[in-house]
Amino acid sequence: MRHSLKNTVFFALTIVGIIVLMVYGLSLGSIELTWAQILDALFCPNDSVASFAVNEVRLPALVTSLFAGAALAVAGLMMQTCFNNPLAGPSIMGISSGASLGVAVVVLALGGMVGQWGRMAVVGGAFLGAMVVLGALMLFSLFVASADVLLIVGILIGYLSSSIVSILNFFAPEAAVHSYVVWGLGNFSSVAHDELALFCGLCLMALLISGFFIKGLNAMLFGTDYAASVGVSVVRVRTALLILAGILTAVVTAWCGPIGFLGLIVPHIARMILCTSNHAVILPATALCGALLGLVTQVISTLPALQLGSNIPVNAITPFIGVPIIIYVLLNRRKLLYFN
Amino acid sequence: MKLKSILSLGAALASAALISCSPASTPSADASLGDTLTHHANYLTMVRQLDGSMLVDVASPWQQGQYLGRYLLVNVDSALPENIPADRSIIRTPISKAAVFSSVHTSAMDELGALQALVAVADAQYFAPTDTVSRLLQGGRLMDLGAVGSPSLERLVASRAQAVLRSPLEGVGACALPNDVEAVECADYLENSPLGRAEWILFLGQLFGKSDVANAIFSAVEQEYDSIASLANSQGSRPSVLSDTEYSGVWYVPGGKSYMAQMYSDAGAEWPWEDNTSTGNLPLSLESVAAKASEADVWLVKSYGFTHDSKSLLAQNPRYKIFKALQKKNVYVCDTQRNNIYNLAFHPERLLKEYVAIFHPAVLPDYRLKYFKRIE
Repeated sequence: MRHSLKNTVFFALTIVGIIVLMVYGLSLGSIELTWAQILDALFCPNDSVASFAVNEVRLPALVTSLFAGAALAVAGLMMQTCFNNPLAGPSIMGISSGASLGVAVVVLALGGMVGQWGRMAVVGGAFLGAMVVLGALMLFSLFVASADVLLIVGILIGYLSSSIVSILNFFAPEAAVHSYVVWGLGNFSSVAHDELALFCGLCLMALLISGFFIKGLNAMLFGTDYAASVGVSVVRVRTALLILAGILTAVVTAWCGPIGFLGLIVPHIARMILCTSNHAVILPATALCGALLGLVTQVISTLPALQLGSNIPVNAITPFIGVPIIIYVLLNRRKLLYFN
Repeated sequence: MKLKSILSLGAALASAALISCSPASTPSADASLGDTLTHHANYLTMVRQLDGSMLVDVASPWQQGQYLGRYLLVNVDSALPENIPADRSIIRTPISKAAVFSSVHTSAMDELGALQALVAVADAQYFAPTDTVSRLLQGGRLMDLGAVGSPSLERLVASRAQAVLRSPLEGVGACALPNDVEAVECADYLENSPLGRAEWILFLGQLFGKSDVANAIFSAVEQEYDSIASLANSQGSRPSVLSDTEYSGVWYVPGGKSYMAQMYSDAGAEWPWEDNTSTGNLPLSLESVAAKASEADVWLVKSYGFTHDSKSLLAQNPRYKIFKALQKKNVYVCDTQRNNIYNLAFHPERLLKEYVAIFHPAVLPDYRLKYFKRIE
């Protein structure tokens, strides 16, 4: 009963936090807008700059950060359970590196900037790169039984991708290197209003499908032998989880750049607060907590925009949130007992 | 007038005597020593010495009072002056073998008629196929030193270059060169005014023994630039201009005191950020740019390897529809791979003419755009 109350309070507070940050986030930007202007822009959109700022820039960025945070967090949770490793996450598995490689090929090797196909070339490159790495991981998972070995393979593929990116960087013109570096800083404002439905739809679909794997994820907490003994097809579930985590990571990285730490830390925050590893609770909690943290990151990145004229890069903020949590998890690993 | 000349000569002789008597003193590129040849450049000072040598100071744009390079240019046939201060590098001119790291400088050498002194280049793959340097590379006359960031020192030594002309970067230590190869820091790209940058051709002229040609080129550039600028600024209207595009959440626009802001102003346009005091680029958000420039009359867009049209601009970012210039198709695009406007550094009058033709078509009715194209 106490547990259930705690969960209810957690979910309620997280949802309230999300609503508060969404509203507060609308007031932050590079130009000063009064609440009257913001409300007018929201409910009576027109051709004014205020309407543009609210509906085309601020709102899409806030919604993107919300979905990106949830997507990365759930991807991280699935990977940590799948590999029975608290340090597993989208960036560690090489999927982010694969996406980075895809973008590097588009930006650095295929003619400087982004080419005449525009930003969709970058999105496509990132998605393709992530899928290639995911495919390689799938291939290995067919004949590698150990989750630890598969994790190491992922890390090594990440190194290989980074190495190719370094070579491309070395030979690329200055402007292209600059474009690539800027992309790597991460930002939630790249999803335009027109693309928001596609981005959110893809994230939402993968998040909802992940809900079907709660039983398998719970069984895998006790090890693969236990999972197999209760009728879970370990290889099939693991493959499905990897595909889902890969798609979630690829979609976010394609539009927002490689966002660090969110996927790694949010599952820990959810587990630490709720003191449970039951995925029926942790999966939605992680999604909501990820959404909240995504919003927190976006709000912090926008806080100095009025003075600076632009946002602080997202990846300059996430380590400040992520590193203390990871250190805490590492130092208290025995006490936390998330995994079997 | 006569008295003034006598006093100046006396002061110059006294200064020269002081230098020769006190070896510890550092001769700065001080006008009192002779004729100062540079008037527009912020970071380059060239002073002709009485003995015919040339003091050249390349000031640091990043640290007040510091120098990126201090040179004494002495003709190869002249004797070296006595008591040369230790902080000055001696360059014997004309340089007969030079490695050059920027196509801007090789273009200038080509115009000066000094390409015979070019023995090596870096980043060879980025020279346009039509560039003379590309033909020399194909003919095996030039050495390719590889990437600018880490040039092959083995090849540099093999090329027997006496000097390397390179562009300094803030906070990045340049690679060490062999002892007998002089690094010539060409900070021209950091100048904040078009004529200031163009004036650096005088330095190149001195280095390669083509000072007369360089003087003639710069005088013509200066004259034409000033006359086009005054024509453009005599127009009643000043259309506002927006430049470049957003990428990954950041839109870099030239600061209010930058080279490009100066050129837009000289071309009779209003730069929305002209109150800003930055000499570099400003990283701005789309929201910020829209607030200042959504009503801009003209939008100048540069690309590399392809030409934008309104469809590709909207594909790159659907939010560009807020800009009035795009709605009215008053967007001018330049594929910098095909039309390398960056190589016009020493000919700002050509780019100025292009901009004036865009902003004030009536001023130059017979002029046809060479580098930019209006989108369809």
